[in-house]
Amino acid sequence: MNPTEHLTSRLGGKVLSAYQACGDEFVTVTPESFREAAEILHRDAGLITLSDLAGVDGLHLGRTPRFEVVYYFADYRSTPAQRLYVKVALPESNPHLPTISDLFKSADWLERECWDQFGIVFDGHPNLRRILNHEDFVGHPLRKDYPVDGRHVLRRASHLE
Amino acid sequence: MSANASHAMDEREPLPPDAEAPENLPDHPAPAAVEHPVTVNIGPAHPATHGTLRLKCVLDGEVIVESKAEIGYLHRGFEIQCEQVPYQHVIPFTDRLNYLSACMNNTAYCKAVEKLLGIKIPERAQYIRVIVDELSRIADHLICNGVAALDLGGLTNFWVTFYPREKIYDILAKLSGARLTNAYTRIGGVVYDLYDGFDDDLAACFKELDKGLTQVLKLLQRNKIFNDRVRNVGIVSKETALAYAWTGPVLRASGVPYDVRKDQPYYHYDEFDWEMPIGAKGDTWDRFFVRVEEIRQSMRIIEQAVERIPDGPIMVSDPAIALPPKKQVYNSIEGLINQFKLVFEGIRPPPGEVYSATEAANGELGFYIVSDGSKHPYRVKVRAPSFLHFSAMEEISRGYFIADAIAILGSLNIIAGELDR
Repeated sequence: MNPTEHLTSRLGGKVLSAYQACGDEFVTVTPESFREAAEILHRDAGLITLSDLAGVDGLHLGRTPRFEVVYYFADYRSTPAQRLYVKVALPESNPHLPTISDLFKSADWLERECWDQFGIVFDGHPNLRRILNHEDFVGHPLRKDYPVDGRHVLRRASHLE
Repeated sequence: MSANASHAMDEREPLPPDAEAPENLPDHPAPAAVEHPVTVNIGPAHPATHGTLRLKCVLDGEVIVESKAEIGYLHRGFEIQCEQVPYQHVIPFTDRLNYLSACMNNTAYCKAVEKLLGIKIPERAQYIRVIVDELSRIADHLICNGVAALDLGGLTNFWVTFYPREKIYDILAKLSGARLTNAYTRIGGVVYDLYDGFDDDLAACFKELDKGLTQVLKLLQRNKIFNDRVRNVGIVSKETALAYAWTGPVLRASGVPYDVRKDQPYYHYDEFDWEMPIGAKGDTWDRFFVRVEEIRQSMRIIEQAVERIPDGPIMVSDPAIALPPKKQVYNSIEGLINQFKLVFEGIRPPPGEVYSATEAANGELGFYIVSDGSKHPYRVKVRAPSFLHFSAMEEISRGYFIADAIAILGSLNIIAGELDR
């Protein structure tokens, strides 16, 4: 069974769509079932690496729900490596997802980055702080309604406690 | 590569892919049990960080019991900048990701857009990309290995590696006009063809390189101090490396045979005769010598590519993608219209999304691009290998001496431009 079949057989109707884009497999799941999907991929399908995580703000694409998070799961041990892209759509108000940083160590920083840039909250994350921007930064700069020339003057030296 | 600590180091045979993960991981002291903790701050501006990153360590004597990494000092909003400009204008931005091997970032980005457009670039352009990419990889590895030993006090090694590296930059400068930020590829091909005398320059460069590599091995392989400093230091198991999504030489040093060039071959990488070096233990020694071996393999690839490179165009001929030749622009109305149309309207890939991966010097460099059909990319996400490598730093430096943390950091080759984007 390939990873997509693992997901469709176990989650059934919670897999909203499965398609190919430029030759890569994409799967869309509901936010409620995402945690379960990640567990299935990690435990049963052998995709033990979360290789990337990208947020997308669909404001100018007219998407409802507005946000989308794209997870890139992979198994680099097999030849050829298995890859699966899992997409989750999130609403404009209070977008949040369960964290998977307990399953995938790389999710720790990747989720922090997504929170920093898009304001998507990862419930249960042990250390959801800003990572690329300053701690006092206001707003989430990769959202499409954030002004491109927006500037802050931040005087406080950042600290690590 | 020899896994045991004996001095039979000349046999650096690549180990079989299923090499066992190391068992003797160091014992970590419990952070709570430290009587007099000392906090030491490394960076953001520290000679050993080679960029702006910060590591705050809690020490028990000389041993790191806890550390916190902070990044973002070189964050310049790469991804949002990409959304503001047409597709072609992103190429110079990508130079500044991993600025030690700029050509590879150009290739990675252009390959992603080409995948989105569904086009295939001409054969000659593919071979040229292979040649400049592998040259960049060699330069990148030379810098990494040069400064890795420099951080441990081996200054001579730095000169030995930087001399051939300058030769490579001379070639790239002659080829692209720029020494460091080359911006050499274009969507649909490359901008300049190989110049006359390229082969001679390459032969002279390889001679220097060969000499340099021999000197590096003679200097370091049996050097007692170097051995003590890097062997069994910063051991990263297969499991840890995979959990942190490591790729590239550092993953291969940990014993996982994954290379995008082998896994999803592009630009004829499957037709070249080359091997993938694999480490046995995943320590700093392995990471150092996997890079040395990769330089040798890249030289092999370049030699074969130069031999096989066909004649032909270096850009696609599609007028919606490639600018017309200047002769046509100045002498025919069609050429002029074509030039204006492309400059003003830009390249417009169909709406959709694409993820494209290439093997850059540090690992899998991926571009996730969302297109809305306009001339600007709607969203560009970079899968930057350094970001994922550095995220493991807190864990893998724990339990080692603070001087070892410097050795580990050097072997990870963290490039701040790519880390912070």
